[in-house]
Amino acid sequence: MAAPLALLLIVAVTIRAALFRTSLANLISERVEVVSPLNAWKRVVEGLALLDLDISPYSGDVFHETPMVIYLFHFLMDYAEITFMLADCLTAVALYLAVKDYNKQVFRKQKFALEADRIPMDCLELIRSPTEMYYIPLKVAMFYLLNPFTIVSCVAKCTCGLNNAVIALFILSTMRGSALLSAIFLALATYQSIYPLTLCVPALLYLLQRLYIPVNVRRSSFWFYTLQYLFMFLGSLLVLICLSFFLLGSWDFLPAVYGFILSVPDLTPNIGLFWYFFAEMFDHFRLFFLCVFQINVFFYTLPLSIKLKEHPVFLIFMQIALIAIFKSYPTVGDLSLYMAFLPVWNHLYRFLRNIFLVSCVLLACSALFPVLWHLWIYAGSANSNFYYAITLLFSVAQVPVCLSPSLLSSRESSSKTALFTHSLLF
Amino acid sequence: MAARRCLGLWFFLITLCVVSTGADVLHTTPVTGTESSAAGTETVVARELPEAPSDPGEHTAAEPTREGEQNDRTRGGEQTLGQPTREEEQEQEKTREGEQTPAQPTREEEEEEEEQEQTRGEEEFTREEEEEELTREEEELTTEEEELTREEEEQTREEEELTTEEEELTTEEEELTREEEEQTREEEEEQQTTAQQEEQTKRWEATELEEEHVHDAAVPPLAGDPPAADPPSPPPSKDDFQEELVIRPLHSGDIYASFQFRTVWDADFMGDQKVSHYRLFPKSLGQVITKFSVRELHISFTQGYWRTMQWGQPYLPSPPGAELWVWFQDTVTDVDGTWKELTNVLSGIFCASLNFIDSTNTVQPSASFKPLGIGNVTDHSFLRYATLPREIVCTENLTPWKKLLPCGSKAGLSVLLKSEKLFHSTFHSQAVHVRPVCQDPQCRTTSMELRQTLNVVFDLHTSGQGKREWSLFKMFSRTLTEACPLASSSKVYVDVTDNPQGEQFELSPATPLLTQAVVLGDRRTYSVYDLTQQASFGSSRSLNMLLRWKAADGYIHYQPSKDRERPHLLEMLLQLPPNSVTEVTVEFERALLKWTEYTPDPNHGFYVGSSVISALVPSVVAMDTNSTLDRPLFSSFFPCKEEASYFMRVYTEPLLVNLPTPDFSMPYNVICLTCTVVAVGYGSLYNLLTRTFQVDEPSPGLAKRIANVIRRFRGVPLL
Repeated sequence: MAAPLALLLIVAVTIRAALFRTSLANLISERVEVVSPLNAWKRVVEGLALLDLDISPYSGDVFHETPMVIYLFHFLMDYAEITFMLADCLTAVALYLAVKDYNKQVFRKQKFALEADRIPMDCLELIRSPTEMYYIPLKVAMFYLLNPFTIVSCVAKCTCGLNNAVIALFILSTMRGSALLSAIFLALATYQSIYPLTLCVPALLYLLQRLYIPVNVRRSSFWFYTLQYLFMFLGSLLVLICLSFFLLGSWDFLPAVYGFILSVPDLTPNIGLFWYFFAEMFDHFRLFFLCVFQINVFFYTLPLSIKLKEHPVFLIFMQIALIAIFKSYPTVGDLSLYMAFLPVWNHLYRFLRNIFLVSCVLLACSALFPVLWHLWIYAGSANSNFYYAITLLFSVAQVPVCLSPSLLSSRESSSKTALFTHSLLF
Repeated sequence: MAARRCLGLWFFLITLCVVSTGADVLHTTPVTGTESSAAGTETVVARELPEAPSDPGEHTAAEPTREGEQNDRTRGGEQTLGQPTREEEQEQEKTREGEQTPAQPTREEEEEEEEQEQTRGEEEFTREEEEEELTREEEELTTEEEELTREEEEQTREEEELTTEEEELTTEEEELTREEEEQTREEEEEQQTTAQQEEQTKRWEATELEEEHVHDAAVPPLAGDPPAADPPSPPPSKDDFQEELVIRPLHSGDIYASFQFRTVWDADFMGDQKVSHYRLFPKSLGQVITKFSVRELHISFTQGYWRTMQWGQPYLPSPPGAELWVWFQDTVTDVDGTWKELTNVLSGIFCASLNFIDSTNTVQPSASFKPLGIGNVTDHSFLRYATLPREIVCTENLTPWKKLLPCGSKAGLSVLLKSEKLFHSTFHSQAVHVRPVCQDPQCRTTSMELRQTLNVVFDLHTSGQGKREWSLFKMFSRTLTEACPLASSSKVYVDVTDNPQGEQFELSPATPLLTQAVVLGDRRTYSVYDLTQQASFGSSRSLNMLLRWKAADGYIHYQPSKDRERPHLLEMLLQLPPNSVTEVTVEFERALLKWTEYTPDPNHGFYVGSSVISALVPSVVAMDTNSTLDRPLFSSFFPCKEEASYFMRVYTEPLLVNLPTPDFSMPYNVICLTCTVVAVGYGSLYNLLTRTFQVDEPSPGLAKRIANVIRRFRGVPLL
């Protein structure tokens, strides 16, 4: 299995390296869909230049990366391209290993169910054969590495590639049952962009499930483990933030990074919902809607964890997808991470009614982004509404993609199948 | 107005200092400037400064802060040798001792070694060399042991070193005071009352290097130091080895490093008696010269092309690829045959494809390529010249080249020759020149001279970010720790001609020795580091020259903007040479504003104010500095401080930037549509959260139901 993965990595690196050498790289790094004010490479360079001039990079409104990133690239400036390619490869390998682990568990569960004869006859078509499962991890790695969204994001040197790598490592360490590493990587991801905070709950659920600790508020072992995990997570987060403070000698970065993420002052168009909404928003409603939109991202965590407490891995996937859709400065790099997970549940896609339509919409939107941007900004023959319409459609299309495994239409499958699927297979 | 606020204005405060032939003028005036929105990157393109005498006081003010930065920024083993005061040095030394690796032999050991060397006879040299190697190995072993027992020994050693250094320091201080007294006396004689510390430390070395001897005398004579011989003086021994490195900062910002290793031997290769005892001269080459009766041999391997337009003339020109030209002695009968054999042998020695030289690419120039050594040969039938332009120069050529050196790559300047750095450069050329030279001015006896040269140009851009900072460590990933013990002279020259007052670059550690040499029809000034003097290595025992290019401007003040709070401000103090072009580029992104922040006519665009240039321009006539005089009003607005220049302010055109605009007519629609999308997401999730699945048996048909009723009555199981 290592050989196909190695081949895949080589192909992926070759594509990226070739694209870095073309003039496309400059063009891509200017695209608003690929880079956001939060993670544009140009801004990292600017921040480094400011640091060299002995000006705090956060004194202006240009740099919004965390201090660790700036110090990372202080040393890796000359090797930026390699760093981003490595980050992508690291993400793919981590996802590959994580999904492999996960598949083993699913397979074991499936075997027990078969032996116990708990599977209804009409659900046998949902049973996955070992060969099928054998190729799923590779498909996941391939979906990540060869996804055009990942490629353009890497070529634009968008730092969300690094965030993806951290999240992938977090998933891997969670799958392997290492609570400490999981907490550290989660803290790192949270430190980079607040939103991964919501991944704390599924990770905890998974680790509890792995140790056969029931989720029961009256059990002391549950509370002990939960507090232990939270302590590790918050502790490493605190260490990271204090480290940043000692690196820079000031707390300037807190408002410049997290304030910037939460209050959305930069309304540069992107693929998300925030920019046009808040550009057109009446001033006195602004704060209210800002709160509503930001809470919207975190809001689903609790009900979803209650509903999907038996399926923490699926919960992780849903949280990542929801973050990518509803975060304040989304880029296509964020999409690519949750899209990589789609092959894991591919046996359920046969129940989806409009998967063809949805994928067509996503493809068409991706093609229309640059076209309508050109018409609006350069040609002047279209206005902002054209671009806005496409971003809306893009967001709408993403919702069924992330929810599809759970939104089985009972019209095509018998309700028994649906029940079985829900209870067992994800 | 709201829109303007948001956009963030750029204020450029550019102050120019226009330099003409003699007048150097400087002035600062605040002015308003150009603007744009978000990100800004500025590029300053300025051409080289001519050699204009300017006031040294301008730059000294900025130096302390720069040094501080420099110390902060050095990382990864690279040691900065700034110009700290004595006390600081001592302190640094104290702090450094804890970190110092025991890889270098301590000073005492070195001294002992050198002492041994001097006392021994030359005949025993080979044995001595072996012994030396042995002792070195032993030392290495002992250092390893020391590492093990380091914790125990460290304290005692530290104490020892401290005491010795304190002694040295005190003696040095005494000498310094003595020197200062002398200097003050001299200065009094010269009626110079302005005493600048920097200038005091710099002393001029005469072309004959007399001053250097004075300096030598001033330094406590270190036991065993071979006396620094001057190049023209006759070598005391039968053979003599000198090494030298010249570093020339090029105008393009690149660095040109030229190594020369010269071995002169009194042996007469032309005579009949066979030369069989080799000391410093490489045996492999000597045998070749003897066997093929070579009078002169010049061979060069070059990778890359020397850009004369950008870099000026090299010290030793060479064509790309390999070049070989040889003068044979007139005793050779079959020149072509010998030439063929020689190329094959040399190809083996230098691991190069010189064996591809044959009659198809060999010529006999009749006018050029005269012998460079002595001898008045006119018969060009003994000259052969060939080039191989395709020859690729790489590590396998460098290694045999280094083996020809007496010290190999173990000590001296040749430790810097690491292939991984040397071949990561724009230009690389290595050459071997063998020729007969005169031994004395009367040219009574001849001796054989072997010059090995290596020229490298390091690229400015390889360091990334265009940071124009160079150090020995950065260039070669090594620092100098000692001279080659076999060398009678070992020096590093840094060309500082273009940098008379230190305004172009800054060299540290500063050396008090300066020398002048005429090269390529020009008199150049060089800072000299004599590696045979322990003092050159300073307290850290390693010499790492650091060369920092100063920016073309004297001062940059940049205040980045904050959206809706404050504008950008960029102030630059520039000193412009005459007939030059300076470009300041600002890159910007177009931002989308809130719809209430736009002006009533948003599609007109947003104005960016003009940038302002304030300059002192040299005046043709003397200006009137007395402002109280009765003058016409139009000529007396700007006060004039100097007679030679007048003040001028230039405003550039304002910019009109077209920003993207939202559709102002549909805030309600946008709010509704976006909220709908959020609701779709919320609805789907709500659906997922609340949906429950139940197995629901399809209701049986009417016939079946009736049958079941009957069956129930009968007491049989249902269908």
